[in-house]
Amino acid sequence: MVGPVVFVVVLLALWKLAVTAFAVPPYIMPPPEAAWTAFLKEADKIGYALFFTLRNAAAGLLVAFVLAIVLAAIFVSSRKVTHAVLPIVIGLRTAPVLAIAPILIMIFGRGIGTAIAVVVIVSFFPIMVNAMKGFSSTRKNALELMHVLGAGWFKTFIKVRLPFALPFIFAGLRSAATSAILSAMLAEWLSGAPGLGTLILDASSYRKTGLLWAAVIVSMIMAYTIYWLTTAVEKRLTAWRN
Amino acid sequence: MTDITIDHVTKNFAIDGRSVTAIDDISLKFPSGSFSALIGPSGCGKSTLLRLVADILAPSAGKITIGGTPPDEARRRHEIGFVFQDASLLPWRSVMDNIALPLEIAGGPIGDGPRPETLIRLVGLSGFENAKPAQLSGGMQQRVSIARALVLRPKILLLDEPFGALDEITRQRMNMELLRIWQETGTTAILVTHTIGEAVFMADQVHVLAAHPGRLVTTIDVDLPRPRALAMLQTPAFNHLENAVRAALFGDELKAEPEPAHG
Repeated sequence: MVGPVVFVVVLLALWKLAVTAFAVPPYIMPPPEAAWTAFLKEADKIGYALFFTLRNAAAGLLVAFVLAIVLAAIFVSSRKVTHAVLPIVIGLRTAPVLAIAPILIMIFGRGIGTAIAVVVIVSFFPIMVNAMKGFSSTRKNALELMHVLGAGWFKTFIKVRLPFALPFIFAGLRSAATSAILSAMLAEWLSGAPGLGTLILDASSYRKTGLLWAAVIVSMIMAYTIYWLTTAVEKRLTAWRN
Repeated sequence: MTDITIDHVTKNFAIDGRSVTAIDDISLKFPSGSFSALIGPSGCGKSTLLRLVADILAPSAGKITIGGTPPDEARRRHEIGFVFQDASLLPWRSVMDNIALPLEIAGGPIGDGPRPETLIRLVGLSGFENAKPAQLSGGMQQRVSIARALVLRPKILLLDEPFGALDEITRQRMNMELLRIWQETGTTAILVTHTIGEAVFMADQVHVLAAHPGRLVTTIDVDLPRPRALAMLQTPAFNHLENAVRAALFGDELKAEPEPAHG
């Protein structure tokens, strides 16, 4: 725990030093204490916004995870389906969210629906690609063993393929989880729904830079926490690798 | 009665678009409750033959029956125990849970099948029930995989060079234990090996195969009494049988004079 604390202290010191040394006007970048004051003053507003963003990110991530695992499982089992569906999936992934935002909002509305859709579009791909790699890296002997034992597709998947793929899946999940907060905020920018993203946008237009940076730092801490949680769960589930 | 019959079986593989014959018209019979060895150089298809019996692969031509039924039926009835060259344990499962894996798949013990606890004792791993595979030596891991192969009381036991990676002394001990377990369970066992001494020591019949394409050279009956004992390794009868297998493996090469040294 000492490392991160030292890092944060150094970062704050650099921030303060830079703002003072270069005489940065507060409407461009406020000093850290201004962000802190704004955080204390508007804590309930930030907390309220954080709740929406976190809920949307978590829900989106959950949907993305399930979708990615199911698609990956289908893709590694059938070459034909892969050829038919994978290009569509990649196309969807490549389409700029900004361009398809009106369609998403029309279909899913301005609330949680669009937020989930955006998070899913941005974050399911790394999970799926890694899961596919994981599912196809199962040791051949383990698959032969399950076959000889008379296990069907589903039992082989649950008992062998999925556990063997976990390290890969978590690699994808880590990368997806950190971008989920950002994607949830992106959805708010597109739809105007409440959350940290909208709060940042509002603070920016009212030149409330203290509040703006308080919200930015809260979102960064959240992304870090999610990353840390994912890593902790991964360590627990893949302890057998060490 | 679970005898195994291999009837004019051929197996071709497609490699880079070409058809390669791994096994060429092999016919063999493995009597119920017998212990047989398949020996031959690499490329003779001995592992392939074992995988055909286990229904991991399907023959290109010919027919295999296990107790009169096709291999896939025997497999679905959980009658086949298979021990791989490497232990193939699931690394996240404990010794106990690895041995119990077949029970989870079959949905419970078959008939009066042995309990995992009993098998752990049988293979000499008491006290290691909760150990993870990574904490065990190679020999211990292979014991776990043998216990796992026995937990559904298989009618046939297929062993693919199970002790190939072990040192000579450990291997000899494991072979003794394997014979003891085999005699207790009464299954029909087929052992794939590339060690002449091991084949003779373990088996009632040694089937010698040749490579490219894989084919049967001859079958040598081993008339050593059971139970086999380490002392037999030093008897003339044992040496005689070893020589017979060696002669079948090397053929005319044995008779050739060594080339004179240049110089």
